Amino acid sequence: MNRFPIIALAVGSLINRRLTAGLTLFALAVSMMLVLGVEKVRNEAKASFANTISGTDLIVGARSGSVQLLLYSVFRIGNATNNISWNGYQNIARRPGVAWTVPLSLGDSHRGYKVLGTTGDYFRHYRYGKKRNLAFASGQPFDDLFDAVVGWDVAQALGYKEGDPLVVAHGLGRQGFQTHKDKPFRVSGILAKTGTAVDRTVHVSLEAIEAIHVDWKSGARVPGMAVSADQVRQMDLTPRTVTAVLVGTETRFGAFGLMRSINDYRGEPLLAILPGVALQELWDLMGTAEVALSVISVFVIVAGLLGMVTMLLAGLNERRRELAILRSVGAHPRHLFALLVSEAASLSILGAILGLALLYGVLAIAQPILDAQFGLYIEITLPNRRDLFTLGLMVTAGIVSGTFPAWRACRQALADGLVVRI
Amino acid sequence: MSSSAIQLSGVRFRWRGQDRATLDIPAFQVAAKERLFIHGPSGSGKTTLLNLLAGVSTPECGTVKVLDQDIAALSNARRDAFRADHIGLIFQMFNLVPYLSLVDNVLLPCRFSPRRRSRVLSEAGDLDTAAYELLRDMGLDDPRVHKRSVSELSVGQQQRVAAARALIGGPEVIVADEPTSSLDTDTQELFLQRLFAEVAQTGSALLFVSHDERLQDRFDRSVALADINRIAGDSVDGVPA
Repeated sequence: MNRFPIIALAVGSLINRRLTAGLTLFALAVSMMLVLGVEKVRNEAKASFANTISGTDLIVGARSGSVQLLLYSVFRIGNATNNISWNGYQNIARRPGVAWTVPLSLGDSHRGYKVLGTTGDYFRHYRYGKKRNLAFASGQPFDDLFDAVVGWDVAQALGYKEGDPLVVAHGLGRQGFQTHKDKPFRVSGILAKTGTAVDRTVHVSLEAIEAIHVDWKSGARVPGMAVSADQVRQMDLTPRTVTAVLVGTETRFGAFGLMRSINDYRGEPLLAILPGVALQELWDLMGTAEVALSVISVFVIVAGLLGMVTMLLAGLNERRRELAILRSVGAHPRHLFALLVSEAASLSILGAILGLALLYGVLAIAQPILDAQFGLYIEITLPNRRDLFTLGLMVTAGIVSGTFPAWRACRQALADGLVVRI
Repeated sequence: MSSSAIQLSGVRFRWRGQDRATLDIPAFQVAAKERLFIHGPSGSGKTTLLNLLAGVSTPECGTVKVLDQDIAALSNARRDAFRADHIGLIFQMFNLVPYLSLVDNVLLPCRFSPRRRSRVLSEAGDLDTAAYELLRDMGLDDPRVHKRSVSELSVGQQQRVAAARALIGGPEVIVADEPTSSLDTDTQELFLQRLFAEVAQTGSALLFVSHDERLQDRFDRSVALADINRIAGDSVDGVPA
């Protein structure tokens, strides 16, 4: 105890004022947690974003904005304003330098989840994260016309197992809309968790999309023209349109030339984008929000530190006798300075530790909620270097702000002398 | 060992911002091991004298010597260290640090004075034992008392803890500022007896300041502050606002 006398005194003094010190500590911990949490969410959101699609060289859609195309084709956010004709798709697929294409057809939904019409190639070529292929948690890709492959979240939320029936709704409303209940699907497979929009998608074949719409026109069932599920199997189900196309090129470099030639295609107005560039563009759109978050974090820390300085300053007056006693037994003002700074340091360090603990606690609780509600999958990892640097910076700021009450304590003690009259 | 514990000559002191000096002591001396009673009403410059002796303030002119060391000649830091090494102080009340245990309060000077600390260690073997012994000598030998928080102690008990703290490590000079004024007569008597016994044992000089002149017969010598301080009158014992 006598080896670090001042630290021991500082800790004792804080414990003696455990209510105010505890509240101050909690405020500091919360502010540290917020700063680390904001940083974490920001990075994870960015990573999660960038990880949604990889290995695809071009995304092609009807002419609109590149961000819009990216949003509806990859993130299932928003709608396409126009489609690509089947001929247009064929034209793209046959171009030299094209290694593979995956057509996407969007527009229907199943209990709030988007239904994506595509081909079996989707499961071979769609990649996310660090070039990871989609994997099946159970079952297999669609084989029959009315087979459906559901994403992990869809299966979890709706309790689907392989073989369960599934009815697609027309349009994108939740329930109660017109449904394609005359042509029910069967779950043929469930995809493993990816942490992307794929988890919240129901995948069916392009032909199935065509089949459920043969007796529909302009978004409504054509009266008197009901085609049964069995009848439709006999019909020609070549799609008339697709919403977007994912394209893989033979060489990475080939993507640029292909993009240019598709954008210049005279047959119909098309737009080809490089996913990486569009992702960056999209992230840049949120740059302002990002800056705002960082600024708020800084102010949160400032508020926490102000709280601590206030507590230490407010305590000085009632500690005048205590400081005079310490002076009387031989404490130099620099000892008192060290005492107050040690208190600030103890609070800051404990605040950092507690803040980190709170962060992990909150992350553990919030992880499934963020994932389910916003599709934002936050990986819980050990604090990285940057986190530790941030914490170190905040602790330093805490110690530095502790010098102000410490300086006041010295001045007060010098003015008071040994006999304090209150 | 020097013959005088405290020696003041030509000392004048004035609080900053005041025109009039608070203290003007041409000559004043306390011999080693002497038990001296100083009486003076409040406002006679007691606090100022205490601050000067403890080296918390320095005189405008003149010299304050404690154990033949001119206090003013030391740097601020050395003065504080000097106080820690050689002077034990007891105040009227609120002597204890509320968040430290009884024993830690008694041992407080050992945190700041390696000299007193090593002296305690060489005499008693370890710090806690020395603190317990002193507390026992001051009549606080009930282990239940030791476990109590210092704020739960009676004023009399607190004063005895403060005395034990002033005495630990045997400083050459004990300065007590109205240590018995908050005590009732019986407790006062007990406190004085124990203080004298301990001072005799450590061989310290005792400077006992009080307004209660009934106590003066028990000391080797008694002086009125008004007799040594040329500045008389009230309200000179001011603390700067």
